[in-house]
Amino acid sequence: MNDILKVKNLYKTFNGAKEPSLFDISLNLKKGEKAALIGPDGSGKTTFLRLLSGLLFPDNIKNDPVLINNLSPYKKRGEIKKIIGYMPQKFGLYEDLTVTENLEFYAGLKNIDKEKRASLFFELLNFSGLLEFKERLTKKLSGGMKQKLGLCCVLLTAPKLLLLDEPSVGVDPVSRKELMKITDKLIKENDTSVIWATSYLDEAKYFDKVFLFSKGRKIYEGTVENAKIVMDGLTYKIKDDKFDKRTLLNEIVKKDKGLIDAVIEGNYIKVVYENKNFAEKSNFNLIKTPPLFEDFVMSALNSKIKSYEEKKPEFNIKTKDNISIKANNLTKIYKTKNKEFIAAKNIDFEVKKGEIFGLLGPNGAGKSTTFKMLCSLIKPSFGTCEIMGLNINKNPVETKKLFGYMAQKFSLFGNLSVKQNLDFFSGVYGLFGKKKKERIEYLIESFELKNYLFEKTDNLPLGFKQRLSLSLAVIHNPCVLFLDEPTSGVDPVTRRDFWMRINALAKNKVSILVTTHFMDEAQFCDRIALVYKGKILKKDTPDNLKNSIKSKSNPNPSMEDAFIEIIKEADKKYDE
Amino acid sequence: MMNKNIIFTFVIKEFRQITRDFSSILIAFVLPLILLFLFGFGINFDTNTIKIGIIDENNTILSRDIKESLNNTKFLDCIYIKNEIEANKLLSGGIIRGYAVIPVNFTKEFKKNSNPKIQIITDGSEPNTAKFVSSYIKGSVESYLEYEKIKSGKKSNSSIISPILRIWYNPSLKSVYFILPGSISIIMTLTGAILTALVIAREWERGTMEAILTTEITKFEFLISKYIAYFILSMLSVIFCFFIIIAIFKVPYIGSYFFLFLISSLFMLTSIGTGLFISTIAKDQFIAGQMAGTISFMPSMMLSGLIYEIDSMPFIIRMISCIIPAKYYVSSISSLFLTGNVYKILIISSIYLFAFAAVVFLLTYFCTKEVIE
Repeated sequence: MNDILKVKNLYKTFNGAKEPSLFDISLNLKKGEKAALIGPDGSGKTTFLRLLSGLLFPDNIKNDPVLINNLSPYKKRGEIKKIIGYMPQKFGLYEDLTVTENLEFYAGLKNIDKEKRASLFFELLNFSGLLEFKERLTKKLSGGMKQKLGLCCVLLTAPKLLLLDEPSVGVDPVSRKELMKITDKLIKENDTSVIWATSYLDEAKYFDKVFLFSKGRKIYEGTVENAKIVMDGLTYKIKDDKFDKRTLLNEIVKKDKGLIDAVIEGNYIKVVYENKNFAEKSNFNLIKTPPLFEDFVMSALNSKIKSYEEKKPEFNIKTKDNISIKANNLTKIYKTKNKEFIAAKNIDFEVKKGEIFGLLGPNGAGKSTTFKMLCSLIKPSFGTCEIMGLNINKNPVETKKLFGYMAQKFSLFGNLSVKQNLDFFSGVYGLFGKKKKERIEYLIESFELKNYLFEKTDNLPLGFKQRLSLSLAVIHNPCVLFLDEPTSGVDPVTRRDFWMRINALAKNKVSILVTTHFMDEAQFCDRIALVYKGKILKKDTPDNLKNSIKSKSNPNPSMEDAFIEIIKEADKKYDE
Repeated sequence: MMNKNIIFTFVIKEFRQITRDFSSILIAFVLPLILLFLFGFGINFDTNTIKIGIIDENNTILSRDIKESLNNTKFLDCIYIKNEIEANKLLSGGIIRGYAVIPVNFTKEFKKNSNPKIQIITDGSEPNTAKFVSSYIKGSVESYLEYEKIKSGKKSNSSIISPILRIWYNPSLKSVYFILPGSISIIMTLTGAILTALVIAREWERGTMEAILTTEITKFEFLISKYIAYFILSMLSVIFCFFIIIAIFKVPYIGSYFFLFLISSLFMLTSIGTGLFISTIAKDQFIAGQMAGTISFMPSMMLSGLIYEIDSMPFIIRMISCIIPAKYYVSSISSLFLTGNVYKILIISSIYLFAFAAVVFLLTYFCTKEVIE
């Protein structure tokens, strides 16, 4: 038998749920195979991994829906525990124990011989680069280091099947790559099989095999290459000098039929069609471009692209040089008893009218701090910030009327209905009477909120909450929009739809400042600033950033490659 | 069923966490200290000398003698007041707790062989003191009059048996001697239940439970390890408390140390068990903490007989108090301190506490899930 894992007709329904969370899942994994379990949040990835590790029981337990090494994880739990390694999303580490103590703890629970431990720990720590931190408390490690330590704890028993639940969330791209290297080495040495759950589509290319999950169903199993073949002849680029790119995008979406995806990529618009027929009937000059795995996912998720029109903002304040947001030397220093922590240092940038400007960086880089200074949620230690020429700290009331803010995790009132949320926020922004009624009606229509109008906000799907949150941010027709991680946790199709709306706003000369840790979202921005360790490393257009690291070995670098290169360079300078 | 190495590993981990988490040290050692001082100095049922006033409108030998006899007791301190206006001022100012008025015709009435009247006015804002003042004045005046009657050869209308009081078990009637040992029960529910209520909930909250469940540890080993770690910590805290009570508050101890240890250990197990049980069903540190407060701390404070006398409670509450482990612990510990070894109390309490601990352990065991759902 060559298969380490066999799953057949697996169903899982949670207590009190109407529908199964996992629906008829069947898949296989060979020994030594590295598979990515890809799917948006809520697609059932974690539930699936928990079922494999015996932490949850399936509905149809009698039929042995899961066999690991030909054993059922529900009937032979003891034996299964010896051959699998499971790393939960929060790594399962004790924050107040040191690195070595965490290893000792798990070694003890896994019954590893005391004599063997010292050499095993050394090997694992050396291998993961944690050796010099072995006496450090876990809570003082960075996200990437915690993740490596979590992996080390799982690897103590040299498992045959390694289950990793979103190991790359909240970790910077450099650590992500290192972790990938560690798992690769492990697979070669021990013939281990890996299932790596992730919601980042761009990670798929590093794996032998991909399982694509959506809404509790498996919608694809196979290699990335095969997925791309399916999409052959459906992906194109369009360039038309008559229009600016945003208008062009709108034109394409309006005129062409059967579009799965349409994205601005540098000076081109990339389009994906449902089938060749639609491509042939296109009203534009198509240039063929090789398909990506992401294109396949969009098609597999039944994406349909739509264009949006937004009302122009009422404010028309004239500013010098057409600049709507200006950050001058913004610095934030947090002082504790004996230490100074610089969360953001000398942040300088300008955003023009109708521009989408992205702050890109890993978690903890200082994006949120910068962001909060810009919308006067925290006071900068030095520096100023101007919105439409007004200093925000000197004129807080006037400036707040000018911008809309969409907070991380959407900040909605969960136990109010959609309508009540709209009523409340329009009231807070000073709308009343006929004006208020008209504005709310307009928002309900343009953001398609009608179906859920009287539903409690807590019960809404995530993508819908995101849409509602955006509608609340623009309720007072602001000319500047701040979006803090607006797309985290939302599936790719909803994300695309969201960006189409943002595009429509930008077309109406609304300036948009957005933070994101999705590298692939950078290309939606006109310009981006790479934020790392509290500083802006570079700011430029996405294309220029990518081209800056072009080399013979990497002729077509991705945003992530560019980011890693630029960080490495910065670290080198820092060391010197 | 049990793997010693696994339990040992787990207990070591718990201790490392405890020593690094300042709040658990705070709950185990600093909070008990504060509570002991609070109970030792704050709660006091002892009677002190009470200041009263006397207005003598009669001004005869008899009335002056009565005044003297009141002043000679060790519980009252009398001051003489000219008139009621002045007395009311002193009363409302809180300087005196009450006053007695001996009326003009007092001696005359007495000689007529009818019962003479005196007026007693007390400060009802402190009912206990008011009751004490009125009954004490009444009693002293009555007994003095009886004495006068007999002296003058008149027939007394009451028998003259004067009881000689002896108070056993707490001869100096110091409430501290009862309160402090009993207060250990409250301290133990605090360290035992509140501390442990957080620990399993914390493992769920921080995602470590998920990782532990995929290792070879069984739920029996998991629970035993938690019991051992927190038992050791809490017993250290108990020993610390006893030391403070005996060495600093100088409460005499006359019982057996073996029973002290046995009964404290058993009570500790019920307390830890309750905490772990709460923790198992709560899965959220905040809720667990709140539940531990209401389920274990409040009943042992109110229904253990330490502060409020159980015999004076309604029938249903008395029945409920019978299932509260703290009640058994308080009665055993106060008898160990004040009476010595009362085997009947000690054995019944031990059996009950053991049974309670066992039931809670089983409940916790069956409620601890090996799967996430």
